[in-house]
Amino acid sequence: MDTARIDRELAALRPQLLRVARLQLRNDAWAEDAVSETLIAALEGRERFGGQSQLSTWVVGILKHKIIDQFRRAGREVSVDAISQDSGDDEVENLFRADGHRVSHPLDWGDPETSLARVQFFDVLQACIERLPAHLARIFMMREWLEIEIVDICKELGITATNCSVMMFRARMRLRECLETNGFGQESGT
Amino acid sequence: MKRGRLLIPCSEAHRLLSDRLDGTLPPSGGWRLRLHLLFCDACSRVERQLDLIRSAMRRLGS
Repeated sequence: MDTARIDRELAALRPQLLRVARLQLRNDAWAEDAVSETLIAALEGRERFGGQSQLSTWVVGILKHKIIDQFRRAGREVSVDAISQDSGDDEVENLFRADGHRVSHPLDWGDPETSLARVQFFDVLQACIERLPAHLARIFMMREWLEIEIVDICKELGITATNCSVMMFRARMRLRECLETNGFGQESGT
Repeated sequence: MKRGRLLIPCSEAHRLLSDRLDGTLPPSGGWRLRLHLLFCDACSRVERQLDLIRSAMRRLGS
């Protein structure tokens, strides 16, 4: 392994690591900390990077562990602040008519693999997560990015299972709408 | 079982899709959801889109 090259590649990964860490933590200083710790750990452990996976996949794995460690250290301090006052969500409720039917028919997004192959998909997805209310973004990222089980998320955040499910539902619905209004599901399918 | 309990509106089907992704969907809800998806294009589309969002999230950042 060419360590100088790995060092350069690691440095180049910093912006994308920062962006995703900010999505999860919603706090620039914490995100900086997590990413710095990650890069240091990656530099220290670069001999262990066997090259069997992509370097970025390996480093993102380290970042996830660092963020989970941060949660454990901070405990409830990192808990979701706005949760208790979370009541209705017009943006989601307005998707349906009173009889439960959708107001508008969802568009065809085309072939999933084609979508995932496009860099732009991830860019729009991240922009859409940035636009979510902070408490929805945090819980959604914990579930879908950190892949923590929902029961553990509820426990960690000190909220009820029902509240957890409602928030996951709202986050998913808002993201789906956001992706669709930002170019996914056009008639052409591209 | 009564017919009214089996047929759910799209709003509820969307909610059950989300619960299923979190592994919190009880078997009864699973059957009602599957029945609904058999007949509902809109919810089947949303099902695929939520799956896509999940796959994308697993790769985020790398």
